[in-house]
Amino acid sequence: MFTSRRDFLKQSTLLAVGSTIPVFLRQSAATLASTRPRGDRVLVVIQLTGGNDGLNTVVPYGDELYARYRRVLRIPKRRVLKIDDYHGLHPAMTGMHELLGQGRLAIVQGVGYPNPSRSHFRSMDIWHTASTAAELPRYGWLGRVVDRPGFVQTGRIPGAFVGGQELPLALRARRSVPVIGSLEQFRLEMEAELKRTATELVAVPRQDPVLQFLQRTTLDSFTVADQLDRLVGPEKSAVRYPSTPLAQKLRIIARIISAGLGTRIFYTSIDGFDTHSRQAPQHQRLLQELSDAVAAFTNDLAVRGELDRVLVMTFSEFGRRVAENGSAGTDHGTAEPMFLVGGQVNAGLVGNHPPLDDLVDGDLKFHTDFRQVYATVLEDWLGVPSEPVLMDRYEKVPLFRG
Amino acid sequence: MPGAKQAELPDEVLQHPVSRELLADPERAWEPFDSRAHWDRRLAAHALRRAGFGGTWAELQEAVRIGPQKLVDRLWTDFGSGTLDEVRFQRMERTFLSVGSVESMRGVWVLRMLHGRQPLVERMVLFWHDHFATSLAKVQRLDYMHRQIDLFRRYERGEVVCEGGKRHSFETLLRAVSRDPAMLVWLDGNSNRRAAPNENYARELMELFTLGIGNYTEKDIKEAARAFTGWFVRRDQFFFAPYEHDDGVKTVLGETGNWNGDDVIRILLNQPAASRFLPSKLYRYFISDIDPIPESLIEPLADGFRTSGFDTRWLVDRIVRSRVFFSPIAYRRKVSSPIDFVVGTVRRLEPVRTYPNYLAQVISRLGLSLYEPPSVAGWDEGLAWISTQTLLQRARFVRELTRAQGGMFDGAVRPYALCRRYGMSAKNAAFQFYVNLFLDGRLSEEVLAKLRAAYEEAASSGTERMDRALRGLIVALCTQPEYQLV
Repeated sequence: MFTSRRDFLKQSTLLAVGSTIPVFLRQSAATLASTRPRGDRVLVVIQLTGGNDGLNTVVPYGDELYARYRRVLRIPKRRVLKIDDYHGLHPAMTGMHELLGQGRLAIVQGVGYPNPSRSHFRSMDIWHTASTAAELPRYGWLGRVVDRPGFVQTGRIPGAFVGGQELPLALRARRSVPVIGSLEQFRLEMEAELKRTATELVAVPRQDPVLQFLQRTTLDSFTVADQLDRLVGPEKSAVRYPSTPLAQKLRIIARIISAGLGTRIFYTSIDGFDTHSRQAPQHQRLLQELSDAVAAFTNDLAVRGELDRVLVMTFSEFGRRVAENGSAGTDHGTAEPMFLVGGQVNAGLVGNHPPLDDLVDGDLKFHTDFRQVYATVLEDWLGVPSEPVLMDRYEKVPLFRG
Repeated sequence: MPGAKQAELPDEVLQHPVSRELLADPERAWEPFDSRAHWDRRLAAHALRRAGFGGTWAELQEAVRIGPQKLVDRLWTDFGSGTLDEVRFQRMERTFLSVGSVESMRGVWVLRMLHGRQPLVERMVLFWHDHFATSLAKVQRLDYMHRQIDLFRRYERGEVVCEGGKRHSFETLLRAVSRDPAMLVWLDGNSNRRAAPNENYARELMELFTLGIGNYTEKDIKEAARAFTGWFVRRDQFFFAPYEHDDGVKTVLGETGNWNGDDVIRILLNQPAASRFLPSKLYRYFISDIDPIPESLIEPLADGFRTSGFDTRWLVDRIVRSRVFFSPIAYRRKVSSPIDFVVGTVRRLEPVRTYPNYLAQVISRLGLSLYEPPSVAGWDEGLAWISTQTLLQRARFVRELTRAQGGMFDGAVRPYALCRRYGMSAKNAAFQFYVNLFLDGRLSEEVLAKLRAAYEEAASSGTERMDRALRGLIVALCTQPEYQLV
C-alpha cells in the first residue's frame, strides 16, 4: 500500500497517495504544483465582535445632541480626528485617519437592516448569512461565494479564516474552508510514511455526509499544511506590525496573499466590543488595535505591490444605543458605520450620519442595508453576481472609484 | 407526528428498524433500555464515551458485566479505574487557587475527568459550564470562577438543596447562578442600578439560560432587568442593595407585580418554552449534535421535565438510560469534542504519566479553553469543533502522545505492553484490540483491509517492532473520520 517515494511526491500529500484520492482533489493538487495563480482580487473581512459603538467611532461631534446623549462617554471636539466639520474619527484611530488622507479609506454610514435584532447571536447570524429569515440558511454568504465553480482556479483554496479555531458561519460552505490559527501551528509534523498511510485511509470513500465532511476537512488540512510549508517562506516584510493579536493575524494574511496561494477571501476577527460598562478605556484600546493593524497591513500590501487587488471590510453585529447607560457604557443598538480600505475605494464618507434627532426607540435609523454593501463588494470587487449569493437584489452603493 | 421534521434525519439513521420504531412511539422511546437485550461491548463503550470520558479496556469489561442501568447508577456515584478522590482534588485546587495558577486549575479539572470516580457528574459540570458560560477573560477572578464551577459540582452531587428539601431543581440552580459572584461580574450585575438598569443579565437569562430567542420581547428584557437591580457583588459575596433595587411594578411575559429576580425566574419557568429549552439542549449534549432534533421526541421529555418540577437529574437520567440513547439515533451521531478527543484517547491508552496541565493546553488549542468559553452562548459544539486547524492539531497530538521517546510524553504510552496486559499479544489479536478499543471494531471493510495491510507490513515479532507498528496503527485510527465522532 505504500506508494514508492519519489521526490515529486513530497510536493503534496494528495499527489502522494495516488489512486485512492477523489479525482477532483488529485487534479487540484496537480494544478497547484504546476501553475501560478492569477492576480485575482482579494477580500479581507474583519469582524468586530460584540457590537461596536459606531457613535464613538465615527463621531458626529458637530451635533450638539451628541454631547447631550453622551455626557460621560463623549469625545470632545478638540480630540476627534476631523473628517469634516460634523464628523470625526475616535482619537485612537490615527492610522485609519492617515488612510483617509491617502485616499484609501471609505466609511459607509448608517448601515443596518430592517427589524434589527439586539441579540448578539441572532444579529451575527443575520450578518453572516445575509438573511433575516427565521430559518437560517445552512451556509454563510461568503461560503456561498467560495462554493461557486470557477471562483478560484481549480486546486486553489478559495477562502480561509485566519487566527481562530472555529470557522465562522459566514464562511461555512459545502466545501471545507480552512481555519489557520498560526503558521507555526499549521504543521502536521508526522513522518512522511505515516502521513501517507493515514491519508490513504482517510481518502477511502465514505457514504455518510458527516463522515464525508470530516474526510474532506482532514484531507484539506494535510494539503493546506503542505502548501503553507512550501509557499510561505521566511518573513521578508519591510513593514513593522504592532504586536497585537489582530495585527499578527493580518500579517499572516499579507504573507499568504503575497506567497501566491491564490486565496481570494480572508476572514478574521477582533473581540471585546460588548462594552456595557466602563466603555471608554476598552473601546479606545480596541479601536487603536484595529486602526494600527489595518494601517500596517495596508502599508505592507502597498510595499509588496498587492494593495490594488486587496479590499478590507469591517463590520460588527450591531451598533450601540445612542444614549449611554448608567454604568459609563452602552447597550445593544442598531445602525453602525462600516470601513472599507484598499487601493481602489471611493475614499471618504459614503452616505450621511443617521440623524440624532430622529431615533426609533432610542436607536439610530439605518439608511443603507448591509446587503447593499455586500452586493457592491460582490459585483464590483469580486466580480460575482450578487443575486444568487444574497438570494435577492440589492441596490448598490458607490464604494469604488471609476 | 410532524413527518417533515423527521425526514431530516439522515437515511442511515432512519433506515434502521430500531430508529423507526422509536420515532413511531415517542412516549416509549424514552423508557429505560432493556438491559437483557442486545447489551454488548459496543453499547457499553458508547455509554462510557457519552456519560463518561471514554473507557479503559478494564472499564469496558466491567460495564458489560453490570449492564446499562447499573452502569448509569455507578457513573453518577462510583465507577472506574480512577484512583483519586474528592479530598485530593480539593486539596490541589486550594493550592493552585492560592497561587492563582489558571493553568494548574485547568490541569486539576482534566485530572478529574481522567482519574475521578464520578464521570457523569463531571459530564454535567461541563454541561453547566457551557450552559451558563462565564469567562475568566472578563471576570478576572480565578476564585470566583472556581466557586461557580464548584456550585455546579455541588448541585450535581445533590448538595444544593432548596427550602422544600428538593435536590437537582433547575429553579434552585437558576437562583444560585443569579447570585453567583462570577456571573454577576460577567453580566454586569454591579451596573444594574435602579436609576439605570443594565439589561445584560436579563437578556441572557431569557435568551440563553431558560427560554431561547423568540420567546420574549425587548420590553420583557427591560422589565426583567429592573427586577434584578441591586443584585450586586460586595466583598466577594452576593449582596442585595435595597436602595439600588427598583421595587416598582413590572410586567414580565404578561405577569404584573413588584417582582424581584426570583419572581422573574419563576415566571420564566412557567413559560411553555422553558420546559422544552433544556431538554433540547441536553438532547444535543447526550444524543446527537449533528442531526436535527425530532420534535416528537422532545415532547415527552418536556412534559416529564415540567411534571417533575424541573428536576434536571430526572431529565438526564431519563435521557442516558433510554432506548434512544442506546439506539442508532445516538450511536456515533455526535462530534468528538476537544475533551472527548484528548481525555478519551489518553484514558484508552493508560499512559504511565499523564501531564494534565499539558493536556489542558492541548484541549484549549483544539478550541475548548476551560474557564474561558468564547462567549456567553458557550461553545458552538457539533461540527463547529471541526476545522482544518483543529484536525491538524488532533493528529499532531496523537503523534506526540504516542512517541516512543522524546517530546512531552517520552514513551509514557506503551502500546504493546497494554494489549499484552489484557492478554492480547499475538500480532493479529493486538491489531483487533486497538480497532476495538478505539472504534468498537467498526470501520468499513475497505479501510480495515488497508489498515491491516499497512500494519502487517510493519509488525513483526519483538517488543520494539510491535510497539512501532502499534504506534502507527493508533495514529492512523485516530485520524480517521469515524474517530472524530463519539
